[in-house]
Amino acid sequence: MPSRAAPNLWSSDPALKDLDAAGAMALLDDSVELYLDIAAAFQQEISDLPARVSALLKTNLADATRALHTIKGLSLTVGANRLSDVCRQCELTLKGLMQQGQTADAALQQSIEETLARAVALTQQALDRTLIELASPEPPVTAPQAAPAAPLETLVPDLRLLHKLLTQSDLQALDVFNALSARNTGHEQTLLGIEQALKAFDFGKAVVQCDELIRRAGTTH
Amino acid sequence: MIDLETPVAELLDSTHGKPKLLVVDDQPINIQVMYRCFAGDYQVFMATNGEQALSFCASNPPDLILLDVVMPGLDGFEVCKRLKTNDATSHIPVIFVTAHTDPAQETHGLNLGAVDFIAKPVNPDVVRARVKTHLTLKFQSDLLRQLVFLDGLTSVFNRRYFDQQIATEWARAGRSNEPLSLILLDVDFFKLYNDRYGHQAGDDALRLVASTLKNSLRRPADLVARFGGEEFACILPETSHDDAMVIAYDLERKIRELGIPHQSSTVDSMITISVGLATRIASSGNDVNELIGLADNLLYKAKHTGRGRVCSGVLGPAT
Repeated sequence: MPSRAAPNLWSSDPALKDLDAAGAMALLDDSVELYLDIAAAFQQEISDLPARVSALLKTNLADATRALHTIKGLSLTVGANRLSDVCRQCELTLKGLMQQGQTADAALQQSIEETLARAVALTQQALDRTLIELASPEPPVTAPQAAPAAPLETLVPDLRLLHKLLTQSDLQALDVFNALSARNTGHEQTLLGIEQALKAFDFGKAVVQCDELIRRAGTTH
Repeated sequence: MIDLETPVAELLDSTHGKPKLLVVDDQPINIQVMYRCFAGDYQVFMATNGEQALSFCASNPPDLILLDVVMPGLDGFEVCKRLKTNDATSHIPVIFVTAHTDPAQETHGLNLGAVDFIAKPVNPDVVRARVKTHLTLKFQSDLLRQLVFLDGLTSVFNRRYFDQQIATEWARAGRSNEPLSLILLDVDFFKLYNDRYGHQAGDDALRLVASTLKNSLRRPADLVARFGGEEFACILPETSHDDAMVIAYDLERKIRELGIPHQSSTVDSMITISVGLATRIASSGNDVNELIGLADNLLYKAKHTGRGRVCSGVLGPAT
């Protein structure tokens, strides 16, 4: 098939912002804490987007389209309007190709990867600036001496409650875990496995981690 | 089961147990945003893919589902289609939450049975208002559906619901190899009671008997229905013959202890009941009607051997 001229996937709308954090926060009940949380997760999510989409374009257009669709929606949630628009343009282009039974040629693949890379870079820079502005000031240098960590078995009642909520797929598990972490300084490393599983919303993995901690608490008792 | 005494507005109030929402999305960020939107007023559950969502709904049906469209594996449209073709989940309202802005996609979702379609990023006030509206409609429709299955006089389930549930429980018992017990009972000399005390008093007595039976069965799966006239039925899933015997004798005693005067009865000076109890144990019986027939025969036996008593039996092996 002859190579087509790659379409311009960059929006010419001058009003489009790389990042509208205030607008996004308004949709999050003005919760700075929640915005910081999801923006950090979003940054991680888009860090490999150009490479990920580029790889998918070579193997499966439907999967590439789905990845772009997902980032289009997430971008709007954090206010990354430029990136959302670029994803929308790419998604539309790929959908058009699929409807015609065509594949993405090398020129289009390159155009998509470059356009995405540019939009992601601008978004990351804007997010970096915004997150620094929004983040709380650093704690004083002379922080008080941390209290020694409580024995592991004292965590067991909370871990059991957490376990129950996790097995029920109940999102209250997030709040219970946050409270558990806040009450148990010194156990950050112990709870790290659960924290990571919860961040990925992998409740199955978090249940396994909970089981393991409850078992360990039993053996140290 | 919704308490029929509870107004719909109160069902949306956390004091009656928070309504259950299921958020289905493959993106943690979206789940987190939805959770923060609803955490205060609802019990919020999550599934990160279509299969998980269907499995959750089968075991713990939520009051409403917020469903993403584009997901790996089963997409939201397919999940909605499967929910709507399953009797146990077809009544759960589904709201699609998606980055799609295509009217054709929206129409497709609504044609599949979704009640609403909300675009991402969601406006929290709008999504909360829509969820509240659809939950109100859902609870109203649940109430109406239940009213169809209630006996007007006694407020326990009616014969139509009994017929439906006994068939369901028979099939379930067959699959799980668990016992199933059925009690049929009849108020003794009820025609003479009506003749002596009048139909108004007869209705009052039936209401009291029904509420006593209902309050005596404590497990959520147990069920009391008005079988017809002054006859009632109790379905006791996963209940062995011995355990059902205890319940049958307890019911007979509790009705007698109500102390409703019945001077025309030859059994006692109070209202009494005759009870037939039949139990299906694993692999016994070929048909649900055999169980009902046996319970009916045992009730007949109780009536013809003096009334105010329990007769029981176990269904024979399947042929």
